[in-house]
Amino acid sequence: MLIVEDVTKNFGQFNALKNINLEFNNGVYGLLAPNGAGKTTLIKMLTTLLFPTSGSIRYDGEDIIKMDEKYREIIGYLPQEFGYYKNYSPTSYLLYLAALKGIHRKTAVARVEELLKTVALDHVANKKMKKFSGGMIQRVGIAQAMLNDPKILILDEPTAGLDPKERVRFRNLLTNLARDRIVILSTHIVSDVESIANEIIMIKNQEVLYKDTVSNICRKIDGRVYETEVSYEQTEQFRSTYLIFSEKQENGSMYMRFLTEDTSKPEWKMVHPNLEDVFLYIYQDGVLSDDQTA
Amino acid sequence: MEKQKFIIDHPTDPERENQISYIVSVGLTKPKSFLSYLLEMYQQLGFRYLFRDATEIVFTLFLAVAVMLYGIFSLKSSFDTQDLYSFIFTLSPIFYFTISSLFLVRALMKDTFSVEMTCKYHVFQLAAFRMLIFSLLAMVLNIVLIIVLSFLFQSLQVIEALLLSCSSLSIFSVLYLYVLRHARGPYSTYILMASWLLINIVPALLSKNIYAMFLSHIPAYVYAIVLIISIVLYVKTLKKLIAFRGAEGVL
Repeated sequence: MLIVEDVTKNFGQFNALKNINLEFNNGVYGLLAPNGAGKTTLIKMLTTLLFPTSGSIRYDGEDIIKMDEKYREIIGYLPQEFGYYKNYSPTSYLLYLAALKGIHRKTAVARVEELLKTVALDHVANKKMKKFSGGMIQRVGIAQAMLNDPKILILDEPTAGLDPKERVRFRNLLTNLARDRIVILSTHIVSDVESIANEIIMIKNQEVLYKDTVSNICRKIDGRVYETEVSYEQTEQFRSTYLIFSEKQENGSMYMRFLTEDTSKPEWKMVHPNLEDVFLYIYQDGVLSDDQTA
Repeated sequence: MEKQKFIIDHPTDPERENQISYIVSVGLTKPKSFLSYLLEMYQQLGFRYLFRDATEIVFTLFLAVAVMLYGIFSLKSSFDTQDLYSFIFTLSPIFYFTISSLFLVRALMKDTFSVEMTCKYHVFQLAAFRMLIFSLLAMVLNIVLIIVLSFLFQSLQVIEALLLSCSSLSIFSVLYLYVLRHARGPYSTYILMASWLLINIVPALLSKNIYAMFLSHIPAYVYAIVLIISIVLYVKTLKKLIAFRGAEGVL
């Protein structure tokens, strides 16, 4: 079990995270927040690349910083910006990282072959990575994170650059892996985690706002999300009155999905909120300010 | 009611001793010595991964030898023996600095750094091994150059020159590792090199004779003591580099 206890992280005067308390058991955890909310800082503390200013992170009761190489042996990490050596092939790069992870060469050769098949890169296993697309590089990154069959798999924005087919394959892979390990997935793309995460962690104002199942989080705005058809003329007024989640043009009018505290009107159809609705609701200040600055 | 008698099977003294030593051995793992750690790392990683960039290192080595030999032969006529001592002391760490900066500082600045830092053997552990080899390599190179110089300048005291060169190299190496661990940002090592050159060149320029006299008149045993202290400090600093994570982490 991985426990984050009262963790605060400051960078000089800037407070990135405060009083974070989390508990991770085997399963997929989706760390969901907009860019700049502190996801990567938390991830870097979980990988010991950064140390908490106060508080502690413990694995099976032991402080992860004191565990040192014992902890590094059981983690797999894919950073947001995955670096690689351009003149290396996936096989040679993975073998190099396997050696750094303390895996014996014989075991590593078989493991690399197996992982390259898993991420569908076996056909380019010995090609130099300088010619690879962003998605292919990301798949090499996913493979390296799994090299040591880690007990804790930490992935920072892992689906960036993957095509829809690869995303599905990746989600299935994570679900499978999470049966006997902790998988922590940081993302700002809701669909990455909605269907696979056992629990979602949302961070707002440097603190953990929710750590709960998708259905429990969605319940927070249950009964307040509607869909309706609005004529083009009324669109602007509708937008300024309600919190709009999505808009779609169809048959000469606009279909709006929105949230309101008002009493339901006959033309409105109440719908079940999804995680994206909650995300937009919670971070509406951020969304509004982003729009205003755009 | 009759009291029930419990028979407790107490362990014997040797059994207790065995249990205590077992608990201590499992609970308190003995820290590995520096050399055994390096050896274990070498066995796991091998030359192939410790020196992934061996071709570049060899190229740099040959380039350094060529530049230094060219420098020595082209400036031979304008040197007198007294100048040589300040020349040796100032320039002995140059090769070590060049090779360390090219191949260590570059590793700290690469995108691969965060992945490599989360591995069992991380960048600083590899660096400690490599720095040790680099310093030995630099020492061998300096010895070769002093031997070449001794053929060109018959009056050069080879033992003194060797001690001077090795002391200079080891003092600089300790400073280099200290700056690397304590100063923020890899550019601090460049500032160190620039400062080293300034500190040694300025007095040589101001009073060439006094500075050269100062270096050449320090008794050999003083250099030997400085050398021994610096080597001990260097190995200690390298050991610290193995466990280095910085106060705030490594990023």
